[in-house]
Amino acid sequence: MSLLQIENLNVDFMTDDGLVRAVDKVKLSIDNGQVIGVIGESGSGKSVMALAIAGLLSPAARMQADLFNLDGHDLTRMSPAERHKLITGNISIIFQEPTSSLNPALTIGYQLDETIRFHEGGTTKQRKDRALELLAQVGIMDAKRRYKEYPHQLSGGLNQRVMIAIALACQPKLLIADEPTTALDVTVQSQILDLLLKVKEEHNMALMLITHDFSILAETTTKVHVMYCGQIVESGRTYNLLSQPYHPYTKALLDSVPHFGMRYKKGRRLFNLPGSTPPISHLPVGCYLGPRCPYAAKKCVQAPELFNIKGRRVRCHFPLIEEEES
Amino acid sequence: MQSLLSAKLLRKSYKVSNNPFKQRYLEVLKGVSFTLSAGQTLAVVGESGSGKSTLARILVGAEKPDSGELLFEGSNILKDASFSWYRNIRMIFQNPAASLNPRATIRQSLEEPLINAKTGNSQSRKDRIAEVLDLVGLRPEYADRYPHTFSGGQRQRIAIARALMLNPKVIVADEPVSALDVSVQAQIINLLLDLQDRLDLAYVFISHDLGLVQHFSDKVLVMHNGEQKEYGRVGEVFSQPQSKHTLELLNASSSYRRAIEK
Repeated sequence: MSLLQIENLNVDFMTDDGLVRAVDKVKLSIDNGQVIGVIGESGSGKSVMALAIAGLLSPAARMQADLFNLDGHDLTRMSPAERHKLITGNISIIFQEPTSSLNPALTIGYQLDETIRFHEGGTTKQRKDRALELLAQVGIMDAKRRYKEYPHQLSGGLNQRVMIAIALACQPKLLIADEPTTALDVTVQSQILDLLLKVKEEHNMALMLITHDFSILAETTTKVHVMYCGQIVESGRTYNLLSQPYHPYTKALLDSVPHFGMRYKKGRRLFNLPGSTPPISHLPVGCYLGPRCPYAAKKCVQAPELFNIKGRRVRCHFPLIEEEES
Repeated sequence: MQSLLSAKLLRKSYKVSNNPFKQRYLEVLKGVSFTLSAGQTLAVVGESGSGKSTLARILVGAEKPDSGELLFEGSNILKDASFSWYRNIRMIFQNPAASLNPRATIRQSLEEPLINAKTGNSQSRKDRIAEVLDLVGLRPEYADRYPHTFSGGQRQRIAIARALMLNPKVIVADEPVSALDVSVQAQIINLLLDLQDRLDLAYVFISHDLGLVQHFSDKVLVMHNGEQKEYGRVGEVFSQPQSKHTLELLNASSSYRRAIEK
């Protein structure tokens, strides 16, 4: 049974330009212990979707979903208080910039303690033992010393480890990592990813990895959703999706990055989509990729629906399948 | 062939304590050397804090090294008091949103290097601006607009245009695409390659994306804690890394190929 099931999730924001839809009919499901990836450029609505799932949207946002099941409970039919309790107990989220998501005026220990106090309670001694245990779990060597230190005394990688420790404090069933490694160095990045996968195994959590880097997804996830302008444009198993993208946007994303280790002739131009991502307040008519898409035709002024094809879901009138068969 | 730009054992340290009795220095560059010919690209890779940006700042003259030589077309530019070489080495920064003055029109931003170099009259400057905007793929009418009306990719094109105003021979690019979206990144990289072909530019390309480095550059310089760990042609360094730090960087970023080949 799936841990989280979402159908037709919409998130709207009230802005000066009127109602703007940041997340449009997103359909997702995550099984226990599964690692899924969400990829998209900035402004594609991937972070808003993560916040919506974690119940952290700002009051200006309006969220509605046809189906929102978490661990067998239907969240759409719950009172806000009950929903809050269920979500805080089961979903944790870590953010992109670890140094700014921790409070600079409080020690690491205090911030960990705060979370443990909220979820488990216990005496001061018990809480401290639990905090040290959590810090050891995320690979912080001298936990006793770090417990008393402030975020500015720790490096970015260590701060991200502390964030993961705080996220683990409630023993979540789902951990959402919103670009956990973007602000970090390459070498530290691989350490943090290894750590995330390790704690995922130990705690049997599901992991949702939000990123804009295909190479991260390729190594870690089993399933990938590609987002563009708030919509999921393609989703499928990682290997299939990366080796044979059906949607023109996925293909463009893959082709526009030179992947390390692939052979390129120096001077060969990279494939690129013309233009840039439209602002979500001024979306084009029909297919949102239409004006930038090299395969666009007359039919693309009608918005395409997400349909199933060969075990994948694609939102395009002309998926790139015929070409590979011929 | 004579090299265009070459550095010999550049060293730089910063004073970290102001106590005159206990002077402490932090060595940021511990002897960096390289040579670069016209039309070539040198990539500088390394973790943050390895001294990449300090090297870039020395190359454009924003910092003075403690010792070492920096030769441009055979003459040591560190000793050149007339400072006239600065027309030939220009810089592009990482974040185009922060590197353009929001209160100046594009024309004012682009005109400034020309005015500082005391070249041309207002008409010739105007023509030059139109010419360079065309070169980077923007319409000359855009010159009277302000930076906030452009997207990130367009702003980076403007930053490149500003670097090109004085017809430089070397461009130092400090992570020019890492703040941009993936699909826009490719546009900027293609533009840089086009410009290199047309103007025979040499690039010093600072990056942490090894895939991009492999695609884009001829030579690579690996730095760690201010030390030059490895230097050579891209193919050689990446296929037979000699130092532990190169290997670490390679392992951290070769995941895509491993996953595809599984």
